[in-house]
Amino acid sequence: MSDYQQELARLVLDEGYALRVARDVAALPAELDERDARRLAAIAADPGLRLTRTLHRGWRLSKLLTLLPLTCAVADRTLLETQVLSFWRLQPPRSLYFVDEAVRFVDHLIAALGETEMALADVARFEQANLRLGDAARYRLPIGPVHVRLQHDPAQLLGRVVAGEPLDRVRRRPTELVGSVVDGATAWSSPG
Amino acid sequence: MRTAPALGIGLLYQPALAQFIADATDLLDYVEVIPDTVWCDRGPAASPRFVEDAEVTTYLEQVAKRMPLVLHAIGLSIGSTRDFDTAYADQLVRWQARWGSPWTSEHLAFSTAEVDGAAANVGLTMPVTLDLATVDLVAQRAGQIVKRLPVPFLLENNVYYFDVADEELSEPRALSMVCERSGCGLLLDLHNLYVNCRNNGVDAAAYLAELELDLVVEIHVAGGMEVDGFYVDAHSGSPPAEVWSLLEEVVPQCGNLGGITMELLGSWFEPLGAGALSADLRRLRSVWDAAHVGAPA
Repeated sequence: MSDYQQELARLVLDEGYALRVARDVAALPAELDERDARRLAAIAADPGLRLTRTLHRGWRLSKLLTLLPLTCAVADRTLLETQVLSFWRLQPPRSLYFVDEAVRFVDHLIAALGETEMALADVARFEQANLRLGDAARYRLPIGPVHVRLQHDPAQLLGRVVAGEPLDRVRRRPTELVGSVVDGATAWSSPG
Repeated sequence: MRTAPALGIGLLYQPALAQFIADATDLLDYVEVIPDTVWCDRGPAASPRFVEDAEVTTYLEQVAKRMPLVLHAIGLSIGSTRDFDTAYADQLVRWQARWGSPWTSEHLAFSTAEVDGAAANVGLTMPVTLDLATVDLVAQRAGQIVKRLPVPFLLENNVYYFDVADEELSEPRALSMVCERSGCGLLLDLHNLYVNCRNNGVDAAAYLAELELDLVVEIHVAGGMEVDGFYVDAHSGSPPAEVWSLLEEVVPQCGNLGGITMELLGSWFEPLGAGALSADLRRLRSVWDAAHVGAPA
């Protein structure tokens, strides 16, 4: 039963694996008993598994969109989709809660960005820090000052993000921001 | 099974419903809460493992002064073959005591499994295989919780979108066996049943005829939507006509019913509207009253 649940979870998480199992039952681990293998092969070929995967992905994606609204709004759709899928391939969902996952996704995204996408990297960095601070405030968790180094003028950058304007003309101005939780709310300052 | 008070009509709490719940004093007898959305489970290695959302907790304390809070958990993964999460069970027991919940429930399902050497959370209530080995596993775990709770512990019939071949038991039979061995009761989700009828050809009448309805302490109703050729348990609006029919048929047969709960996802509250939600709750009340008028208190 344990092997069965592991493989069923993999069928939901990994579309390529499910397609391989649907084509050939031999793609399943050899140590599965005959009944479990028969069941999993049938599930892999069942359109209901595709829907289950859609629901799973919707759950996982909606958390990223909710927790990183600015980053997701600013990022190019194709880039975002590519990076979300590559992140998911590397990191199975480990929890019902997604703040840690969103923080890790930002690291993954920034590592994939080129020189021409530094404004997006700044937005993601700021939102990542803001998310960590907000989570600490929400759950009254201790957190020290969070330092964020940006390449662009933060007021102009975030102003354009909120206004839905393009970021290609934002002034470059290396800036350090310090975030902290004060009286249960996030507060930002600039040490300079 | 421990007995539950006959409360009446409830609504599942969602942040978007907070004001509606605050205003709906004449429509609701209790509020159901998914505790996993109020606390954050930071994982077995964290200390403290469970931390609370201060703002939501304060809101719920106000609600709890007016009506009971019923806990409906989603994080126990009672059907998982991984080690039973006793720390999670401890937290559930603590919260029942804290809020004085008249009953507490979970799903007959699993959501965590070992993937790449660590626990993965699929984020869905995955169907357990309806076999004797599963009954043994779930009954033993449910029994541990039943022993520790002074109120009924319920398991909910699951929703699923694919069949599992060669199962040894029907779902009603598996649920009855788990209840018999553990002392737990049932949360009958009529929308889950309807979804399984629509997608998987389950015969609702046969299902309900086989289910031991005296074990049912709570009923869930909800609405759904079509996605990719399936009818999905999306909690996206009013219950469909078929669910109302099932409800009217089944409520008079549930001798130990404590309440009927409407489930609506917060993001669907605005499209549905407060007026339509109020009308659904009033209709639930009329079904409840029709079955309970003249019944012994």
